[in-house]
Amino acid sequence: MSTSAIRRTLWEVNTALVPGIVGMVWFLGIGVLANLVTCVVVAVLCEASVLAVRKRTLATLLDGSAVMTGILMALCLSPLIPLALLLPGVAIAIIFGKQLFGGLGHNPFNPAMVGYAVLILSFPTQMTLWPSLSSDPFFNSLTINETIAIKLHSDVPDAVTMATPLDQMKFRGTLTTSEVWASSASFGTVGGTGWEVINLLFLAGGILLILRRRIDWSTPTAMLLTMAVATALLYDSGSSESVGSPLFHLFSGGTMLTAFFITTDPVTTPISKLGRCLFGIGVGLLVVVIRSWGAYPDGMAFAILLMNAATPLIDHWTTKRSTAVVTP
Amino acid sequence: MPDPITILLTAVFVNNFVMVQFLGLCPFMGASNRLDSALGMAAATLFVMTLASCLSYLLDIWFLVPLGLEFLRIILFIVVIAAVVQFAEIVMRASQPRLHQGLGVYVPLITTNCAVLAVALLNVNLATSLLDALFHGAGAGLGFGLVLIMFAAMREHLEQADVPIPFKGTPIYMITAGLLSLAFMGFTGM
Repeated sequence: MSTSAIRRTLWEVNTALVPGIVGMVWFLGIGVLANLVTCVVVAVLCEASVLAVRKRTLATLLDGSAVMTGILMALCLSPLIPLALLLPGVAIAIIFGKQLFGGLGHNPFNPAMVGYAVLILSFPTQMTLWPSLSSDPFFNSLTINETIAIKLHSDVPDAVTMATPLDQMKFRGTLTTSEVWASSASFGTVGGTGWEVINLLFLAGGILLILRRRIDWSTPTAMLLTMAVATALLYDSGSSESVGSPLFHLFSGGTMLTAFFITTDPVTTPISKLGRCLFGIGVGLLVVVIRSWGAYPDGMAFAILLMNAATPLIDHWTTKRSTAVVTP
Repeated sequence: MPDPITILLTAVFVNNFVMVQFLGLCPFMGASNRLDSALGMAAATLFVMTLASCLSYLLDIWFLVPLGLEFLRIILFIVVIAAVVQFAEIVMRASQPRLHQGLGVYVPLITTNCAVLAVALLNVNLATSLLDALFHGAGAGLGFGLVLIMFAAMREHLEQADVPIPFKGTPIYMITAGLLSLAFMGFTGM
């Protein structure tokens, strides 16, 4: 792909995130917007300073990849997270995740997922504090002043926080899935209240990109099918041992965002169709494994990082030798 | 007590010897420069770890514990490991002379791979039967081989990357290994 084609694709992918972003702001409040603006500004500043230190042209800033990393990171984070935590997260994502490897096209790991993983390992308390999405959209229930107090002074009122649906499902003790569903208003029709709509909006953006042939359909399809099959096998019609229904997993947490906007990153995923299917299957399996038995509620970032690490090996086995060895 | 399959999967992923317990980093960095030599190193280490785990376990329960000689564990386990490595080297020199040449000093250095000794020492608390020791050794070897091969493929990829000059070579490999270790944190708690 030529540079201008890459640039067009990246900006179009950024645009396709808009419906999901609107949904997140509506349900989760303007904290999401504060995260977005901060992450994008910090990402662009970090990228610009590395380029300046390396005496490279600043024109590469326009390719939209730093903006995209900023947006993707912001969309993985809780609207209640203090803004100060975003600075190290985004700086590590851009500098250690991307620029030290030589910038766009050379990074082995998805930079946004690197930043997210560092943040959740370093600040588990702040990172797992999510607003309750029980009845009213959160947008209505928190004033601007309260949001500022949360974002700048990490002054979070207890009443507004609640375990996410994935957490409630995981740590529900001896309840069956239908009992936990009835016990809490944070479960909606098939997924978490609000979360199912957000996931649908990201799904819509993703389908638009596939129709316009900007992203490859094989990776998201393989990932979502694998997740559906794996959770269906573990479902056992909802006993207390069950991990939740396939629809619940497909429409909760960051499933659709990951499937359409993170597994389709051309840099950190395999080249061939077969390789991409393997990548999608791997991510799907790892997500189900981490969600079911791991310590982290939504295993997306770790699943992506692990499969990113396996990508050169998958490429080695699924592409012809002559294309795998590129002379610099 | 965990069953052997759990012990195996735990050793491969959750407590991966390189990425989570930070053992065996020297051969991990040293033998990952080419994919084919990494494959050979992975196979040799898997063989040594599995066999040394079993033999040191038997040595422990048949001689050291009955005779009250537990304080000799470290030194005797190293002797067992060295014997197994010598055996593996003889086999490799005869059957895979080119691979043996390519790996060079790293084959005898499996003896000083602390991950191998760690398997033998961890067996004392972990293994309740020879089967446990076998699966623990095999899991440790498979986990080491998995990350070694993954990392070797990543390094071949990184050689073409436009890395800033101060970070070229070992520094960027260290950063990559660190990020890989970050990814393995996802298995925490299983």
